[in-house]
Amino acid sequence: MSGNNLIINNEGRKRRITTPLIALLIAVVISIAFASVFVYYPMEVILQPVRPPVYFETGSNAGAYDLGGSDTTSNTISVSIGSNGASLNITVHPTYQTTVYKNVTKIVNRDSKGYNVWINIRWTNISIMVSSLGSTFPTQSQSSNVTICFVSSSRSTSGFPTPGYSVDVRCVSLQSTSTGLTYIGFLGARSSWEIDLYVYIPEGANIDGSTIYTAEIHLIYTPSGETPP
Amino acid sequence: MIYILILFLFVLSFDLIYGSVFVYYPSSMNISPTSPPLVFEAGYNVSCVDISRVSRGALFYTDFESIPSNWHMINGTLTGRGFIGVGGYWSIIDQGFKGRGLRGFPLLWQVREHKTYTPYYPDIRFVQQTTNAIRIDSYTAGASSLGNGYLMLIAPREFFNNTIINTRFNAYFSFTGTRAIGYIDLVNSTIDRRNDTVIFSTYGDCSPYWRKYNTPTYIWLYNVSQAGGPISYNINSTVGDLAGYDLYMTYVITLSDCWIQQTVYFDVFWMALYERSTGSLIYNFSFPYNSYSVVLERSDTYGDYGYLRFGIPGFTASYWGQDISSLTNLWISSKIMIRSGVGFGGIMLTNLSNYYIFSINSSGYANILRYSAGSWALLSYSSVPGYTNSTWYVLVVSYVRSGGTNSFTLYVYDVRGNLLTTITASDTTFTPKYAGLASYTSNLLYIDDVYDDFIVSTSDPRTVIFQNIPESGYMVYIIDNLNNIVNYTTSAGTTVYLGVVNDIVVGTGSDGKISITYPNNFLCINYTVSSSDAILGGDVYSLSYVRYSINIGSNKTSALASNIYISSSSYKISGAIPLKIYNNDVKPYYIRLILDTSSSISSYLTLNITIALSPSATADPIRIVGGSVVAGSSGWISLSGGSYAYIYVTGYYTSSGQSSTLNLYLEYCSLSNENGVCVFYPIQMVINS
Repeated sequence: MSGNNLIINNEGRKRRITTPLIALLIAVVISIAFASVFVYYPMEVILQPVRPPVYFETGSNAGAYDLGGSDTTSNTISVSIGSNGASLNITVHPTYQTTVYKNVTKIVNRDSKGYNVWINIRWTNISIMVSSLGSTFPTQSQSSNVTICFVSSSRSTSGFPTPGYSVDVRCVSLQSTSTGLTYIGFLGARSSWEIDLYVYIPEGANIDGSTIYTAEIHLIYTPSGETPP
Repeated sequence: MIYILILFLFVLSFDLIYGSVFVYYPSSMNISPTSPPLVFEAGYNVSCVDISRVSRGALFYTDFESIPSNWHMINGTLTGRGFIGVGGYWSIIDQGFKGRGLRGFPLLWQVREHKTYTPYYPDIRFVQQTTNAIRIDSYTAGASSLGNGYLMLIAPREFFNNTIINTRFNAYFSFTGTRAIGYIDLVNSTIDRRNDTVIFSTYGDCSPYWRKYNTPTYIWLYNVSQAGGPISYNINSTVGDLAGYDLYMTYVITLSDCWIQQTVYFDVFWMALYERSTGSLIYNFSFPYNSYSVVLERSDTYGDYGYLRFGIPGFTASYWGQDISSLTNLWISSKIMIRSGVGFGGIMLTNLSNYYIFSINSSGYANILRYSAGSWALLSYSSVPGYTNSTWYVLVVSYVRSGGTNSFTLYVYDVRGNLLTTITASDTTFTPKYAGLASYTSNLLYIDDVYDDFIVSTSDPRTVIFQNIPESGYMVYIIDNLNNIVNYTTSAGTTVYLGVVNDIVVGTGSDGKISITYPNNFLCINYTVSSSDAILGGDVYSLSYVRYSINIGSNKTSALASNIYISSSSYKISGAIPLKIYNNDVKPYYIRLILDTSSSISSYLTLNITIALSPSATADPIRIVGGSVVAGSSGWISLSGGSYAYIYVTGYYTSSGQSSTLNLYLEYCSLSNENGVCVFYPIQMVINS
């Protein structure tokens, strides 16, 4: 026994306080020393790209005559789909009152399992067009309505003086008050939906014939039931 | 550290089990609104609500589809086959101008003496008997008279068709042995008593020419053979269907005195016609003593001939039985066609003793004639340019009586309404009491006249007047019950005068239609006249119409038409064109109408709503019948760039005071079968009665 012990165990058990102190000191030293230690565990990540189970496809009215155009060139229902069906660009030319574009494009699921489908309106400048002159029909809305609609089987119009559009699945507004995520539905295995556009523009709203309004959206699909991030 | 590792592995395995895969496809939707390619424009803001007749000048009219009531024949009676008298035959035949017509055919008994053999000479007389018979007499002249004597009557074959001809006569033959002394035949031709060169030539035989040579053909009725006498005969000869025979036939009683040193006579009491099917009497031609005279046009020859004079020989007339003597301003009109024969046919004014005749004749002249005190006088005449027989003409007579003087104007038209000639006359002889028709055979053989469209009127029957037309450019049509357009014209103002000379009693004298159209020829109103009524020259109609409001939206993509008034009668179909649709694109669009279920529809409404490019190019309509929607959308039509289509409404209410609010859409698409892009424009129409 040395007289260097700092703690004297009166019961005769002397605790050596030096061991924890040394451990602590070692840990600190190790921490300082091992902070720049890199441990490499080998891992293998295999990426096996597959063709997309869900993809865009042109609808029956893609490329058909749209409203208006020049004396030599008619407007068309312009539909552009990426080479693998994983991106979509649509341009249409609606007019006053109710314009319906049926089956502009399709979303097809060729997988043997279904997927939940969402859309996320990331950005839109499709403002609500408002009539300043009033309508021939007082009950008619003075504000526009621009929606994208997903149709699984049937669609119908009803109501007067503005025919409301109801489809079997879901319509989502593309106007500037409507950004964010919206759940569309469950696209079953080996099935498809048609995509329509329904546009109502009140008489008296300003149409200059050259302005293009755009909504940037993501179509999101997932096998899970989670909300996409 | 192991804790951290364990934690990491847990999270990893959790993720693997639950597949938290989200696939994001970027998409952009580009909306470029454009001005509307199809726009509304206002149509006509007029709807025709009613059309009614406000006055009628006609006092009497008939199209002779049947014998009219209060129609009479001078010296004739109404039988089952029309009017028959000793002087004429008036019957309804199928060969009218439209449908049936009235035939006027004078009847005239002819007499003829005939030298049949070169060495022998007849002296045959025709003598009234106090026994009410006409005697064909080869007896009085003694045995030296040898030859034939004929009593003949020409009539249309319809006169004899399917009849039993009953001939009642006595025959005397001076010889005690039986010999042939006479024949009764129905000859398939008109036998002219003046025919010296053929029928009554000297050919060396006792029998009539047709018996000897079998031409013309004939129907044998009876052979008279006897000894002694007088013997009484009452012969019934059955005549069947005469289809295929000549239009005119001759009934002939032939006395044949062929026996040297013998004499013979026939006393003919009557020739009566009976219906073959029922045996009922049609008419009995008898020869009452002193009711006629025997007129010999040629006498003291061996071929004397003439006729029996009953009344005015060769003349027959029929008339409307209303006394018109108190009327001083009248119009009378009739169509006339001379089918065959020589003579005239025309309109008659009479007091039953005297006659004014307004006629055309087979020589192509228009005449105004007077018959009084036993003789004819020609008051005025003119040629009718281009006249031909078997052609219809229209006679229009204007008659004014003032201070005892009758002033007449006769207009002669063709059936296209062209005026061919006009003649006038004045006379003071008598006051007309009846108006009718008259036929006359001027060569005293036969004439066959047909009449149609007879009218007596206080106003000019050559025109129908339409009042209160909205403006110039509207078209007015008169259509007969056979769906022929009688005439039409375009209004130059608010009153339309539509000429109907070609068909003064329109169609076959019942129903018919009046149509008034907008300047673009879409229907404004269509009036179907009741079958118990008719459209007549001299009628005046008045149209009722309403101007309604049409509101179109600021960008011409919505429309509201209020208070469109339509007819409240199913006989009157109103039409309206509240809206036009203009395609200002260069490409066509496919368009249709849809009736929305929010519409409020009266149960009294029957209505068609359609889209039309023209009155003859219309889509299948939206149909409402008695308030029920039978078809809720129209058919599709293609509207070319730079073209118009019309929203066209036709229909009626069956009750007044009704209102319906119709909510519709115009749907148009860039491709057929609702493909491409489709647009919906709202339309509301409020329709009332």
